[in-house]
Amino acid sequence: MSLLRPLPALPSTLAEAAAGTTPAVAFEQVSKNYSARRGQPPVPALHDVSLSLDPGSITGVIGPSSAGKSTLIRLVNGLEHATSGRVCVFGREVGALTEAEWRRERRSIGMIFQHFNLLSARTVFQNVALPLVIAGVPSAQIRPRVERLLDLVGIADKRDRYPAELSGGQKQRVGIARALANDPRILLCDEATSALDPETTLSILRLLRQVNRDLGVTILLITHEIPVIKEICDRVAVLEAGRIVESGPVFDVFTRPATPIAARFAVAATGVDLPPEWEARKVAPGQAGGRSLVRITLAGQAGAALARLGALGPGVEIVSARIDAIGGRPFGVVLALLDPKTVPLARLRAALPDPRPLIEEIAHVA
Amino acid sequence: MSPELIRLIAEATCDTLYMVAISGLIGAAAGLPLGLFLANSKRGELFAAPALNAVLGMIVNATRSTPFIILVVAIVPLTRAIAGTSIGTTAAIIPLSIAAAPFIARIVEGAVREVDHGLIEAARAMGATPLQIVTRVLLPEALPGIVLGLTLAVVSLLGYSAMVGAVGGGGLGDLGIRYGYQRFMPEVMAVVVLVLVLLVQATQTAGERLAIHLNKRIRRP
Repeated sequence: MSLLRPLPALPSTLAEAAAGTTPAVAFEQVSKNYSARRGQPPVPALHDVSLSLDPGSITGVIGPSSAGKSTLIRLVNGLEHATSGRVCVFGREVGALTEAEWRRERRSIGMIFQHFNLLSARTVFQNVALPLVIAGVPSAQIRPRVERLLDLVGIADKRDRYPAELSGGQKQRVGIARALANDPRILLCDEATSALDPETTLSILRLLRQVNRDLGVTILLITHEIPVIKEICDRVAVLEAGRIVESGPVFDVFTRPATPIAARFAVAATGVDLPPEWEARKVAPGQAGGRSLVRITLAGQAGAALARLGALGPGVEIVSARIDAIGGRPFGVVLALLDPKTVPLARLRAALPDPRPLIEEIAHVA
Repeated sequence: MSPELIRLIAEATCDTLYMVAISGLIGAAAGLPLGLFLANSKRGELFAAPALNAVLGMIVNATRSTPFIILVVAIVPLTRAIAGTSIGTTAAIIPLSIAAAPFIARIVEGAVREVDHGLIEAARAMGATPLQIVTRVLLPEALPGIVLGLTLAVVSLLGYSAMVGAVGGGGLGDLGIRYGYQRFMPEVMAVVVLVLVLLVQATQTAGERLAIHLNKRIRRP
């Protein structure tokens, strides 16, 4: 499936502002409180969030449930409004627009949803046409455009089916086609793959990557799934209890996490953790005969580093090792047992030169 | 059964259908917008007007909790003012419509509230106006439920229309009371009941078929 020509641009104030280096989306010290029941203190959802999205990038926001991810993404298209701080879309402040002005601007921001939110009484074609109908596009222009979009997402053969007759992956393809109908500059993905099986998730993520590359659409996605971030994001922000605790290129955040929650996501992303059977063998540090279990996170080519570990002799026992890539950059994670008498940590560090790996002592075991 | 009686039954059936059809239409014309408003005007909703919502809700509840036979008697002056008389089939349309409208409004409200909130959010994200959300999203999505509800309303109106017979409203109820009950003609009563049963069956079947046809959420082979 190849992407066709980029869609002809609709007149859009966002499109005009898109030139230059203005961030596609900028959150500036944004806080959001929900007013609770009368007489109760407001419920904070986001606290002092600052985040900037480069035009054409894919940024993922990851965090546990109720961390404020949904609120964050809804601030971008004005479905929610910030209590304080500014949210700018291509340099234009969201809060400064009236609801009627926002209705126009929203047409330049597509959105897809976890549960697809397709209209059950409309066919695939009619669902994709809906944003165009709402925008007042003449019906003569709607047909060729919808057909091109259906081709783009690979469901042209389902055009007269109803959503109930489609699989989850097909429904999300309809959702993507619908979100792209008004030729948006920004695509918001609200847990777009969380209701899909892993294989379908991958195919949807590839489609999103394709949309990003070929149409230059900036993507902001929120998810609680590590593979989503690993598969397509350029940058990631970790959201916990309404605050962004860490953000940066995905590779850096996942290979050198600075905060405990990012480290938890990194462990899930890199797939190496203390094996359960070792839990029972934990002993107090410094106990005679005890060995230390270390996790070595290698950025860059891991093969040579593994060979050097082997050359350290019987003082190092590799428990598990994994070589993988994030965003095309290779990395490795090794769990190894060190005999502190023959291979102290300093010797291990010396044996693994640049790029310096992250070495963490995660347990002492008998 | 004499040809005279058969003619009476046929006429009464037509009267009943006339009363139910006109009051159903008037009830729907008033109940549909009222129901849409009730479903969208609470705090934070599309046409938020909580005070008006509460007032209209109370009026709807008051109308619905008044027993129909009492409503008919209570609004006789209004019926006279509009229809010029309080007796006969045309006059009966007024209380029937007044009973039907709030009933239909609640049915429409319920069906519209059943529509997944995510669809409203998706429409807002597309830049739809509140009116577009109602006409392009809420109404089409709620239509199967509304049709089933209207079916229920028509069935109730058939029952109510028989009741207005007791106060000179005409139709099958009137026939049943005057001939079947007061003149001791059980066969007339039996036929009246049979015709009403058939009308309810036909209405229910037609309504259900239409609702199923409109409901695209059902997966069909």
